[in-house]
Amino acid sequence: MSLRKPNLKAVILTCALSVVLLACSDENGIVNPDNELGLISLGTSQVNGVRIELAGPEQMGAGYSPLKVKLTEAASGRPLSAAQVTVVPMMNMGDHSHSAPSEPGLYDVDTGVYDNPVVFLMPGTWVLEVSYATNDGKEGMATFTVDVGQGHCVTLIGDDEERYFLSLVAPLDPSVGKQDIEFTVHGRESMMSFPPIEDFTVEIEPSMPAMGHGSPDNEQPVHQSDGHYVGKVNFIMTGAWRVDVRLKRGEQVVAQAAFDLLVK
Amino acid sequence: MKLFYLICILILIGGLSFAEGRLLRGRVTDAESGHGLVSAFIALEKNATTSDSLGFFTLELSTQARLLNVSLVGYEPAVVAVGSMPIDGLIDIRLQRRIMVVSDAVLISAKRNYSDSQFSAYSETVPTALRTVKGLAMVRRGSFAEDPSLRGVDGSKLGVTIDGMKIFGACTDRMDPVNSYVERENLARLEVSKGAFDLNRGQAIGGTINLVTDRPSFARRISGYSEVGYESVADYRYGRSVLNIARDDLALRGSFSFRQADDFRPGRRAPIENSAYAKYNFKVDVSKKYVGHQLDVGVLSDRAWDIGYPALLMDTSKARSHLYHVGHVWKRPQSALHMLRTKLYFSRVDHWMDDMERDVGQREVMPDMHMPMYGQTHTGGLIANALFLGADSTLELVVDWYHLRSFADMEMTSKLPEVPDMYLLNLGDVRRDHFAGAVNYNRAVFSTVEWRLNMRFDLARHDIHDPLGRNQLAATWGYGELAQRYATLSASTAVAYMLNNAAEIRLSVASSARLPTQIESYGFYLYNPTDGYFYMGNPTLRPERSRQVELAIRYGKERRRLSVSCYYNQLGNYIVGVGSGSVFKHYDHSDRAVIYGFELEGEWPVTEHVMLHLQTSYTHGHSADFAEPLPAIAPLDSRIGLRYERSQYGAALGMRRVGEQTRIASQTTLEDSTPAFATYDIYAHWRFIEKTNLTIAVENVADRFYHEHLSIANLPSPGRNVRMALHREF
Repeated sequence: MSLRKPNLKAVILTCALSVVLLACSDENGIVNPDNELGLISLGTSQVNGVRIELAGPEQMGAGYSPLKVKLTEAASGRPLSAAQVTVVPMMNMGDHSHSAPSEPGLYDVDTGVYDNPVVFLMPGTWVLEVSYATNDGKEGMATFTVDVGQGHCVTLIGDDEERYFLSLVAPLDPSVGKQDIEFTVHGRESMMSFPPIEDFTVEIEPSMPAMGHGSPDNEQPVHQSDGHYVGKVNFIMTGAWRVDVRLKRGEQVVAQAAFDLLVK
Repeated sequence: MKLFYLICILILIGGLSFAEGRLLRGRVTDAESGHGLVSAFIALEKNATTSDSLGFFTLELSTQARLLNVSLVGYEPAVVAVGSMPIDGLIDIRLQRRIMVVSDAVLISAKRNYSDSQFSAYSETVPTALRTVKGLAMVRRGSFAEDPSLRGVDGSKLGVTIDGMKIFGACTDRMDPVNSYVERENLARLEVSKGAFDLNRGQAIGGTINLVTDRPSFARRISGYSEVGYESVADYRYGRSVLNIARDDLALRGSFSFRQADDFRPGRRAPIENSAYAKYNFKVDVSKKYVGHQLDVGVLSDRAWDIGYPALLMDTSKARSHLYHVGHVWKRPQSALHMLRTKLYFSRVDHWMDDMERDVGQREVMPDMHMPMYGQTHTGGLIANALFLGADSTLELVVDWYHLRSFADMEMTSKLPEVPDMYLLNLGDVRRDHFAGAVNYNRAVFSTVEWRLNMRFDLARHDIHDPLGRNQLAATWGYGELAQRYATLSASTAVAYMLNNAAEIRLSVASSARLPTQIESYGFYLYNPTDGYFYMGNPTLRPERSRQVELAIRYGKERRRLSVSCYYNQLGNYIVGVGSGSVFKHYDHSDRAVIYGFELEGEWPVTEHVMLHLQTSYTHGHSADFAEPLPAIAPLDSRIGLRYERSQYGAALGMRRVGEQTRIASQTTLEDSTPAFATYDIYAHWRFIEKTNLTIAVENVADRFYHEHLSIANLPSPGRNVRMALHREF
């Protein structure tokens, strides 16, 4: 998983469609005063003697979102490191509810928090059910409500009639030169199950519509794990770029989409 | 009877005395040292002799004796006018040292030499003078700033210097070659050195062109000239003035010129839109003499604006250059270190181009946007020359260092409001340090053979400094490859054999290298209109290599001249553009490119006042890697001229015939064939008042529509052009 690089301007500007902010300047929390991870606190809750804090990007848009969960014992403030943490995103559509892809929590020893990325399939109001279960039997769940704005996630109907969700993980703030480009691809088994798709060949083709050409020296994405595809994209100048993405099995293009990026 | 015999004897003795009185006695000496020269060849009509070990000679005068020709290997030949009467005392003939000539020098001085065979006296601009040099072709992108190409090697691979000083154009599209920053009145001569045989002034594979400027003269207190002129093909008008002031040990020379042209008209067609230009140029030099020393300070400044390049996507809104120098010469006539010359210089070139005059909505490449581009080069350097004179040899040592900084960028602003602006760097603050040392040794071996050995080493390093520029190039090459160092060794040797004192055969061989230019190494997103590709630099390029051989024969007797040269150039690591996907190419090496050809020039007196001149040149280029001809090779180019000269007036007829070029490249670039053509020119000059000269010429008399093979986008050449110039000396 790659984190969005901090952008001072973005920190200062507030996006109109962005998340409901719950101000929290907890020194022991995920969000440190320097805000070096570009994360803001999405809320805290206390369940069964465990304090759950959720943090996410300041500008949360549809697509891959690197959420983080910190568990601490409410009484002592001691972090809980050996726990299973899951975050299940839910969206209420009125007549039904559906979930979205999420990845199992991975404890990051350096930061003392659990990385629990999710993929918001569309903009709107999402409820995040954060559950924990410790080895010594403690468990609990808290819910957090977040507003998700426009982002880089597209829903595709493949030529095999299956539904696929393609999300651009990086670069979200691209610059001139060669940099990693990363996607996640998920399918849908049911309203609650969105498994990662690991067998596609992903092809990218960056171009500048105004210039009528693309760029040389891109590296096609290769599957890493859990539906993540990582390659290299080369932006040769600032301006508006379009990255066409084709999901293929063999020579057959199953689905395709395009992402518009502004390179600064 | 006895009286008869006595009278006969007296007559005989008298006759012998008379015969003794018709001997010419003289001495041939070295002009610098005053020493007598042995085995110099002295000829007077049909009589000839050689000088003795002290330089003395005796020669019989003939009744019609006119010209005494004196020559010796290693020296400039001398011609002395003598009468038919005996002279008291000795004639002292001083010969100047000559370093083996490897250049074609085109005289371009203010005192136009109308006897010069190449009509360069009639050349008004630097490119037209360059074009008269055999083996040299000019690449046209507009009616301004033509770019030289020498024996099939184009301007970006040639070394073009001003008095040996390095100056670099700031436009990445070669719209401002070095010769565009000088004017005719700045120059004393052009030294065109073809091939890699002269390694003193720069790395050479195709050759070097040194624009030698005119220096302040100490001859007269005030001198100079003014000239105004007009050319009909583009309503071109110009004025230039030169003023020289000298007093005792201080001399100052200043020149100024202004020229302006409208759109030019090709043969039998309407004028080519957007081909106008205007510029001014000034140069000031001050020289101060001391005993044995001379100090020179000077500035050359050139500014041009609103220059149209119909063959390209952009026009130049402004081009500006400044070249400053401080020089010192130390002459020590009596010692082995005969002369030491040093020069410190600095130049700055700025170039702005844009497409504001173009209909960008109709443009195929990058439509609906304006893309102004700016380029800048700063160069600072030091050159030192030391000349050693031995008894029969000369040794020249050269040290040449320069530091170059170059920058160029491009903005792209769409006319559509929803498209954000775009920006990139074409040259992201590239900096180069280049240090070179050269040795040039000339030696007279026997009395008829001259040998020259020239060696050169180059050390250079360069890197790109702007972070955006580094990111752009690192995407392809990685950051670790951006900084580069080079070390190369080049050598050339030549042997010249004088036969009959009128002919010389010279064989030269050379092995040389050329560092990639900053554009080849670090250029980024440079559009080439010839093949429609965007070229990207390659910092990993190594130097180009060349092995060359040339055989030259020169014959000159009285007013007859003939010279023939054949050359063969084998290129390795030849730098070309290679496709890297879709519309992009990057510079890379190809191997086994070969260029060979010949040049021929001759001149004969038809009558006492009429000279016939003929020259022809041919180049053949082939890329073995791509199995096709090399691009931009000029076809067979021949000129015939007839020149009539009297002391106050003269006229000339010229015909130029250029063959078709069907040997074209389609992989390394996209060319098309060019048909053959012939043009005719008439020139005349008349000194109708003292010191005032009128020149009238009609070029392309038949108003032929044609284009040169080296014209970008087949831009046509001018049609019939009526030229007039009035030149006044004072």
